[in-house]
This record gives sequence, C-alpha cells and structure tokens, in this order.
Amino acid sequence: MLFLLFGGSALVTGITMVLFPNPVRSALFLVLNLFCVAVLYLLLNAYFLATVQVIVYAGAIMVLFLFVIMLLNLGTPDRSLDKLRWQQPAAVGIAVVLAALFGAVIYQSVPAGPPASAMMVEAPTLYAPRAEPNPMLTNQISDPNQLRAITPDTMGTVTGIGQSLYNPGEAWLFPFEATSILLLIAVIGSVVLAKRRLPGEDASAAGEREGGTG
Amino acid sequence: MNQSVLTDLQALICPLVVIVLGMIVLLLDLGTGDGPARRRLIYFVSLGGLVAAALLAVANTTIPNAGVGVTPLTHFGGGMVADRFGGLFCIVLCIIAGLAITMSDRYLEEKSLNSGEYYALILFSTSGAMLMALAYDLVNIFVGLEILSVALYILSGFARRERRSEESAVKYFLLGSFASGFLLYGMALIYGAVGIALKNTGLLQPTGTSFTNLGVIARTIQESAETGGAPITASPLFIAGVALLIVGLAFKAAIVPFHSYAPDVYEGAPTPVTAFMSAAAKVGAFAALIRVFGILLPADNASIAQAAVPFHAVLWGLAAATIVVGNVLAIRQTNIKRMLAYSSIAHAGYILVGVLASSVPGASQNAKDAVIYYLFTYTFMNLGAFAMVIWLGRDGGEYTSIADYAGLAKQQPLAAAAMAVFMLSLAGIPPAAGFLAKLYVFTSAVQAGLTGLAVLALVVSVIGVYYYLNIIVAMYFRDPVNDFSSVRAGGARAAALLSAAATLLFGFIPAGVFSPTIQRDQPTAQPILGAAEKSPLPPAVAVVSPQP
Repeated sequence: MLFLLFGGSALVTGITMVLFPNPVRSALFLVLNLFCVAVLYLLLNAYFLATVQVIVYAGAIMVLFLFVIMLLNLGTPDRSLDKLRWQQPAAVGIAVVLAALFGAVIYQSVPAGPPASAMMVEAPTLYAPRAEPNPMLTNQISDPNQLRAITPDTMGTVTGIGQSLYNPGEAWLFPFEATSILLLIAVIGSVVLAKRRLPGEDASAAGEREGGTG
Repeated sequence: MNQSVLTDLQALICPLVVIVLGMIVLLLDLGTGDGPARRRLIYFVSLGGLVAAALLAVANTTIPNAGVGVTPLTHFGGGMVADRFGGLFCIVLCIIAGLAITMSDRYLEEKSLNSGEYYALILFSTSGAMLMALAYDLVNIFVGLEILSVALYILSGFARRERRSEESAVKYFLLGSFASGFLLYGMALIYGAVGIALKNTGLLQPTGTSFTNLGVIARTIQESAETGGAPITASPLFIAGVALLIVGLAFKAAIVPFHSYAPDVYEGAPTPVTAFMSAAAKVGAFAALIRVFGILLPADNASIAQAAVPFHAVLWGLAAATIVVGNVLAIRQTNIKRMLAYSSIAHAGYILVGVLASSVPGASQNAKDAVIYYLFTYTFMNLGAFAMVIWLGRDGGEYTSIADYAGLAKQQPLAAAAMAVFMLSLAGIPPAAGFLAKLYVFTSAVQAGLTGLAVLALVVSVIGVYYYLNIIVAMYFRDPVNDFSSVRAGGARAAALLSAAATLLFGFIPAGVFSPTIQRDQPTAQPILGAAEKSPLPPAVAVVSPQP
C-alpha cells in the first residue's frame, strides 16, 4: 500500500518535473521525487541509503541546483526554437506504447501477485542466514568467497554497506573505485568546458561563441 | 587477503596503468615548465605509457585461459575477468589511443587547445573501454561504459570555441545519456528476472555476490532450464532486459536505428577525437556485446537456444539494416568526415555479423577471433584515414570536402598512396588488411549458417567500393584545386604512415596474436574465448539454503 502510494507519487512528480517549463518548479518537483524514492528505499530496508538520499540529494545537491538556477536567473525557455513540431506528439505516442509494453512485461513477470507489503517482509529472507560465525569478525579469512558481509542484521545499515563496498572479496569494491575515475573525469570536464576565455583564445572567436550560446 | 588483492590488481594491470598514466599526465600538465617543452613531455609520456600498457596486456594474453570445464579466473569478487579475449581488446585499445595521441600533437598546437586535459581524457576514456572488455558483471560494464562515454562527451566539445564542436558535444551527451538510461534499465530488469528465478527455483543467492554477475546469470539460466519449467530466458522480464541492453550497446557502436547521432557528432568533434571515438567506442561496445550475449543467450543448450531465436532475428535485422543504410548513405556524402562516419556505421554492421555468428554453436570460436581481427585492422585503416585529414590540413583548418583532395597525387604522392591504401582496405580489396578481415568475418558467418546475411553483406559492400574509390579517383585523376605543396610534418604524418604500413603488413602477413590462423597451430588455445560460457560459477558460490 505504502509502496503504491509513494511509487505512484514518485512517478507523478517525475512527470510533472519534466512537464513544467519553469526551472524552479521543476527543481522543486525533483526534490519531492527524491523524497518519494527515499521512502521506497526505506520500504526495502535500506535505512542508510534513504537517509543519505534525503541529506545528500534532496538536501545539499538540490539546494545547489536552486541556487544556480536563481543566480543565473533562468526563465522559461523559448519554445519557438522547436522546429520539429511533429516530433512532440509522435514522441508522446511512442512513449505511451513503450510504457504499456513495459507495464505488461512487469505485470506478467512478478509472480502470483504478492502485494507490495508482503514483498517487503520477504526481502530480508533473500539473504540467507549463515550458520558459521562471520569470518570478518573472527579474522579467519582464507578464501575471498567466504567473505559474506551482509546478514539480515547488518543489511541496510552503515556496517552492512561499508562491508560490502570496501571488501575486496565482494563484487562492489571495483565498481566503487572505478566510479571515482568517473568523478575525476566529470571534474576535468567541468573545468575544461566551463572555464572562461583561455590565454590563447582570441577575442573574435570567443565573441562568436558568446553569440552562439547566449 | 592482501595476496588476493595483489593478484586481482595484477590481472587488471593494463587498464590500471592507463588510468594512472592519465593522472600522471594531469599532474605533469600542472607541475612542469611551460610551453612546447611541456607539451612534448606530456606527449611522449602518454605514448610511452601506452606502449608499456600494451606490453603488459600482451603478457596477460598468455595467461592460461579458462578451458572447457574450467571456471574463468575472476577478480574483485567475480566482477572482473582477465582472459585472452579481454587482453586482446586491451591491446587494440592501446593502439587506438596511441594512434589518436600521436596524430594530435600539431593539431592541438594550431588550435591552441590545452594538451594536458586532452591526453588525460583520452587515456581515461581508453581505460573505460578496457574495463568494459574485462568486466564480468553488468555493473562493471556500465561503469566502464560511463567512463568511456563521459570522457568522449567532453572530448567532442573540446574545441569549445567552435560552434560545431559544441553542438556535437551537446548532441552526443543528450542522446548518449538517454541510451545509458536504456542500458541501465535493461540491467535492472535482468537483475529482477534473475532474482525472481533464483527465488522460484529455491536456489537462493548466497550473500556477497550480485544478481548482475555474468557467472551468476549463466548459472541461473542453466539451472532454471534444468529444473524443468520455463527457463529464465523465456521470462518476459528477462527478454525486455536483454532488448534494452541491445539498445544501449548498439547506440555506442552506432548500429543503425541508433546511429543518427554519429555523422553530426563525428563531423563536429575535433578530428583526432573523431578518429578515437569512431574506434574506441565501437571496440568497447562490441567487447561488451560479445561477452554479454555469450552468457545471456548461450547457444550450447537446446532449450535455452530456443528462447534466443528472436534475438538472433533482431540482431540479424540490425546487422542487415546497418550494412545497407551505412553504405547507401555514405555514397551521397561530400564531406570526408561524414563519409567516414557512415562508412564506420557500415563497418559496425559487418562486425555485428561476426558477433551474431559468435552466438551460434560451432562457429563461436572462429567468429570471435574474426571480430577481434576485424576491429584490429579497422583501427589502423580508420584512424589512418582520419590522420590523413589532419596531416593535410593547414593552419588549424582542414580540407573536409572530398573534392578538396583532387590532384593530391601530383603534389604529395606519398600522402595519396597512404590514403589509397586506407580506402582500398576499407573497401575490402585484396592486398590490404581490410580484405582479410571481411573474409574472416563472412567465412565465420557462413560457417554459422548465416549464408543469407553474408551474401547480403558482400553484395552491399560492393556499393562501398564506389565511394571509397571515388576518393582515389579524385586524388589520382583530377586536376588539383588546392595547394598541398607544403603540408605539416609531425605526429599526424607518423600516425598515417604507421597505419598504412600496418594495414599493408597485416594484409600480407595475417599473423600475430590476433589472427584466427593461430588457432590451428595451437590446438590448446582453442577453447579460450568460449570457455566462459561453459561452467562459469566458482563452486564456492553455491546454494546456501532453500527458501523457508
């Protein structure tokens, strides 16, 4: 029930975010959307993730977003630039068809319709309880495959997430570290693309650029 | 524990070296001197590092590979795998990055672009494609793809004073992130399908491995087929997931319905970047395609292969459409960068034929080797052709119209000869390596029973001969319109001549680690690439407890 409520409102806020032409309203709806997703995380027993979602995304990042929007004084974009008008209805039509397809697929595949609340209770049982003591705690690690950090107790807590993220025997250490390269690239990119005029750039070319984007 | 981490790092040494190299280049750009000396230092450090990385990858390809009945040697909790297949792709990527960097030196100077970030981004992007080739987990494939593409978005807008470069970056970024969304959604659906299947069959997942691990997925597919009932490959969730996966990867490889960004992006991006992305993005995407489809649509089990039939039809259609559209639209192009963009789409189609053949039992091994060989030769001929454009350009400008190259042979016979080699090779005419590559791919397609597709590809590639020869005719038989008497020396010339030499060399001596012929000499090397599908799960990852 809660899942339907918050899943539905996440969908609605997502759509309204895209539909509103005013960037401030869009950003505010995005905040709402992030809150709904945080509740969904809670329903999946991911407490820590839900907290971080609210603090980092809905809090810090969205505040920055709003600051930037207000600093740049962005207004409603000019729609007359849209030259391919026929694209819009076509896109909506195709999107509806695609959504219907995926809806049918997911409806068919989720087995024997356990209600969302029942799924929620079952979630921890996906992770089977272990009989032997946690090798992490007893310092008897011989085989990386023995490192099974997540138990029903630690699942969703900081401990569980930390153990699965930073444990070389787990699958998640590598993508986690690789993501840092991705962030480095993003930083380089913002420096390269957003830097003001470079020493070597001549004024005329820069002027043309200003004219092009402004 | 430390021991195992060291082994893991050692197995992934090639991408790691490239990543560290990128960071070193960034620091060098900050710390050392000024002006041309710094540029030269960065240039040579990047090239030297890439050579080292390639050599390390060569060492990796000789690591005994997983054979039949042997589990693949996975690293980092099963997420990465270092085998001959991945090692070969890493070498190809090192060559691509090396050629792209070689041809950029004068170009960057004349356009007064910052070199440090540029080389670093190329290196990071290369490492992303390497991670895709070495990934054994859908999550790692996605992270690798994002590293590859985010760096490419930035690179294509690197000449930020030019409107076309900006347009190219924005287009690529918007469409690319949309495609990444499709890919990610597909992965999420597969995750769900695997989870549901494991729950239904009572094979609960041990904690600590992921549902997106290719080994876990392969095991689930097999077990769900063995325990009777519908195999997971027949579940709609799984099928939808695979379909979305195809969309995401096909976008990166510029397969036809998802190709429309390619000509605009290729035209607008700085030429060395175009050269780099036309090869690197394809190599990454095809490596992931082959790896993923070997697992998700295994051909060796009859009941599972049944479920894979629609996907074979889809890939068949994509390959045919790509070949036809790429070749037909290339004819009408007058801009050489756009022409090469459409030609690279057509080549993606030929490679897809090989990928499709690799999913057919019996032909799998040859087809995979044929695809690697094709990408290897494609690297030289395509990057070589772009290097020609840079080489013959002047004062930061380039001759992008095909008509501009008229009469080149009279003024610069060497350049015209090199260009002719690339065009002949791209067209697939015998003395050049492109012919052998096509031969291998089409042979493996016939072997896989895809005779119709092979014939179609052959017939349509004859159209390709027209537009490739068009350039040769212009160079040799028309009167000059431009003055090519003083062309710049520098890296682009070196890259072009090197590629031309390699194209000819590999046309005459199709040897080396890449050639399918090596399989006949070393029967022990036979099961290398196909092994991953056989029994992909380490025994430790077994059933822990039944469903309560």
